[in-house]
Amino acid sequence: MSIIKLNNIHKSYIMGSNKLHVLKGIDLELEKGEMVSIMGSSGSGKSTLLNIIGLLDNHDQGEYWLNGIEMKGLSETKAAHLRNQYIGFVFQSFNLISFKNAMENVAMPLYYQKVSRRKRNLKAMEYLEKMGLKEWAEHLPNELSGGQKQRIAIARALIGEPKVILADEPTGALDSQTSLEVMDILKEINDLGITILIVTHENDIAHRTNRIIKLKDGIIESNVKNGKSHAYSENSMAF
Amino acid sequence: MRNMMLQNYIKTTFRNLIRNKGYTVINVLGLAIGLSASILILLFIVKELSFDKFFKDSERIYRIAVKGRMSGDYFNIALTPSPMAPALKRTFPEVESAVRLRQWSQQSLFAYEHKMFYEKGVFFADSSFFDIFDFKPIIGDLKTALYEPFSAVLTRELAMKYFGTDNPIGKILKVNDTFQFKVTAVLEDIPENTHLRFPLLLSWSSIKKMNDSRMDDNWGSLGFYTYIKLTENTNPELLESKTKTFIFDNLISQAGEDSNRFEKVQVEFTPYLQPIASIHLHSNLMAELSANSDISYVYSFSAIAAFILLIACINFMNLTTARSAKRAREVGIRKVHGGFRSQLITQFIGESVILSLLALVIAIILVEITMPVFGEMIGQNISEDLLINPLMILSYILLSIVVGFVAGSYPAFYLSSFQPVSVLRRNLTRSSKISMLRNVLVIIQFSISIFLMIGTGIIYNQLNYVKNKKLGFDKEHIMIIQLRSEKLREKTTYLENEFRKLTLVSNAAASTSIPGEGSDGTAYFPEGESTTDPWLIFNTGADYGYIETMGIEIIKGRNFSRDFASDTAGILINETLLKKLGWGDDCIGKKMTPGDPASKFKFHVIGVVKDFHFISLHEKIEPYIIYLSRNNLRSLSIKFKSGDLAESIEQISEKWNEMEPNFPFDYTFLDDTFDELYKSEKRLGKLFIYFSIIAIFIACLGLFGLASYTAEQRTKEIGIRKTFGAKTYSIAFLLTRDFTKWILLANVLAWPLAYYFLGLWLENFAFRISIAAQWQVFVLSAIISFAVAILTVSLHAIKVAGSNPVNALKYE
Repeated sequence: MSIIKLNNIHKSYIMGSNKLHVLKGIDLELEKGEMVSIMGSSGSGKSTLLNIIGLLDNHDQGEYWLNGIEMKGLSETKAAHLRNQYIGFVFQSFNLISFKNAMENVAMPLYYQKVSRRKRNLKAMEYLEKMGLKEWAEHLPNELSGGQKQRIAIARALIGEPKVILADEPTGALDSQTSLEVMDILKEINDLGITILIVTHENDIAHRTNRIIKLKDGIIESNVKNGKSHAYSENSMAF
Repeated sequence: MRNMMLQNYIKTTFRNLIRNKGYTVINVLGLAIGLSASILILLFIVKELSFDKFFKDSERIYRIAVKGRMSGDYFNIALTPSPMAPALKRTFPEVESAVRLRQWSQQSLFAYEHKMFYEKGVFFADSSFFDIFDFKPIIGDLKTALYEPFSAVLTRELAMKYFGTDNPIGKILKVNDTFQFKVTAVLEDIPENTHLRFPLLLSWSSIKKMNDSRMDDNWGSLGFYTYIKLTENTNPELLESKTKTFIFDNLISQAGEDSNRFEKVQVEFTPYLQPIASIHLHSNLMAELSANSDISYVYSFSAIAAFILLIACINFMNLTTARSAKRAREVGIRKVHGGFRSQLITQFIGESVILSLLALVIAIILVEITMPVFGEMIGQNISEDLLINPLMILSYILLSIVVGFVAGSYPAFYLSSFQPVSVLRRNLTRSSKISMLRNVLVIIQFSISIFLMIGTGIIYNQLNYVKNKKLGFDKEHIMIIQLRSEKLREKTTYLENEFRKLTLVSNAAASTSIPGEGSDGTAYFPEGESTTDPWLIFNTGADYGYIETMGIEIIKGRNFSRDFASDTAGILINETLLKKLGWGDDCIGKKMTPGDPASKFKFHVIGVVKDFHFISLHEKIEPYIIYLSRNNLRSLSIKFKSGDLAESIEQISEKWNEMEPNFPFDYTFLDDTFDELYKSEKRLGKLFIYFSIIAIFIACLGLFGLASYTAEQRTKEIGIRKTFGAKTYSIAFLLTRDFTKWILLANVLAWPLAYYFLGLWLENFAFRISIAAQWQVFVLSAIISFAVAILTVSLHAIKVAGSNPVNALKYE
């Protein structure tokens, strides 16, 4: 069963009197346990696509199935709940809360699952240990290096035991050595069976995933499996 | 060069103001409201302080008051014996002139042709009156105006009322249908800022000719106001020391008696001088001419004005420092390009002064709009002239510059301290020191607001308590008609009977005084007590039916009754007197001798009435006597059956006009008379409430601004939280929580202060609510402060929490 299935997804933004058609019919299927990257120049619609998959934004048209449930007409609260249950996020700029220490940052998603503080912190320590950051638990984000921050962000994405991790340029702010380390961690997570979707514009990052999807002007230009290119869909090619 | 820099600063200021409209509005509006409240209060205070200072040489004018003792009871009164004024002038060369005044205690009916009006506060005055008080004449010679008997000096308003545009000089006013007074002069209307207010003056020499008891040459009877003007460079204290025994010495020589007798009964009269300008705010004696104000009002309202300004300044500081991150880059760039710190400080302070002056302009407009309402609230007119008096305008400008300076100084020093390298690298993290300061300031604001709220509640409750307190008699539905002339008073029984016949009247009875009006005291010698040492006891004379009309309760013995002829010498005493005399159950039939202990006439006690408040609740209940009297009954009380008040008045009015066509129908209600006793408290209470609301509003304005700032600053955090599953309400809760903490602290600070200061205020009342029993007011204030703060903050929180987190996260 596919964990994510998009059927002819459209999305437009109203900009004053103009309508900006960002996604023009996206069909995409992610199998459980896949590690996929999305590439594309800026303005191609990749962030919008990620936001829709991450339930941070609604699509205008088409169908979106997450874990076999159709995402349609979700209320704020429902979306927040589903995000919390299914999806973990990793960002380019880490997005850690600056006045909370590493452990508290990691534990945050559990707070919204109404887990008690003691259990939250215990589990957060467990995940920090997995990331090799146990000694840094009490430190504030600004006392940590970029790689450490991103590992904390990954721990935070994992702690809610999501089915999918969405990573938006996870290595964009890191040097190449640290980038590789982060990718290794993501790979390990993927090996545990968690589906991972990475938005990136670095080729060597993309090539470390199972599949590379290229977006251009709101449609999927190509869908390449492990370096082998193949025509993705008749109608999208026809455009 | 300097000029260009200044231009640059001003330009930057206005650009900033326009770019941040929301903050500008909050800053300027808060400041403007604060300034306008302060200006109103300033006008009020200036007016209060101006009382009686407009008289020429006002610093040389004094009123004589008398401190003394009579049968062991102390008193302090604004009255002197009538010969005091001429005697002072005769005896002491340092007294340049002296005048005595006698106020006609009741309203009197004045008539010119068909125009008839009741006038109140009419004075009899010596012809020297205008030597001391330089009221402005319109026509007539003030030097001679009060010389002849039956002369009258009118104010312009009164002259217009009776004579229109005709020349009033030489015209005759008929008074109480009995006496004829000739108008000799007209004055400009009396300014509002004097305690000495009157519609007209009658010549002193008329009193003797009117052949009534008002003239009293006795040195032992205090019933006349004496004002003196001292010669230049006279030390008033020296005169005071010379006149210490002046009244007493004259009393003894007049009575031709042994001074020992007076000393034995502990009679003391010590006159002293009150500077006329101090009367309005510092004098609260018996028999004041009008209800004076009190310096404590000036202090408390100054404090309120300062509070409100402080709150507005705090808003300003908070919002400006809160916005500092946005200005940091500008500071960095200016510094990189060679700006000195002092220049930056000047720039920022200049900005806040400009803002404050802008607020002043709005404030003046607000004051202009609200002045009539404010005047009504304080029961005084504040004239436009005072508002635009150049000195006042100067003081507003000074005030707003000071406010701008105070409000701007901290942000200026803080902003200008930014290191250019770090701000340009955008390394500005949340400075805990600054947000700490902001929190402290918000706590101060709310402490003040909560204090004012509690004050409002307590004052309101006390006034309500006073209003609803069982007075021991029933003040509702009682109409009082003054019987102003001897002619009317002779017909008392007839009037009573006629009114009793009306369907809507349940009872009617006349008396020499009514509750709430103040009573006379008389010397009594109770049976079994000293025959030389009299008891000074308040008393009132009343007709049959008075006890029933007032609903006074009899707890021992019986009421006056026509069935007992001896009741003409019967008296009712109150519980307090009974207790003081210690007569217990044997009180009925006990004798009391009024006036002279050797006199044959003795009253006997026929009953005891339950204590009732015959004066205001400021005072405790004193011993009291009600005697049966058929003469000098000046007030007729009429008790209505419950029902249509308008119709009852109509019935009485018709009856009156039928019986007494010569006297226009005129009445008061007893409950109004009682309300009058608490007028100043009521006014204070109302003002307190309004200014509290203003203070709270400004504080909320600041809180709103700060909340929006906080929310803005935490946008990213909120975005992150939402991404990881936070729902709108939990975000709103998160944002509100901090503020809640501050409000809690503000309550903790405000409560003890409110408890202490309002406890002090309540001590003014002999009968008062207990502040400890007012815990609901404290709790309610806390709830309101929380509700207001949470509402204000969550308005923002919900908006921010509902926004799409993507926007917050995407852009750094």
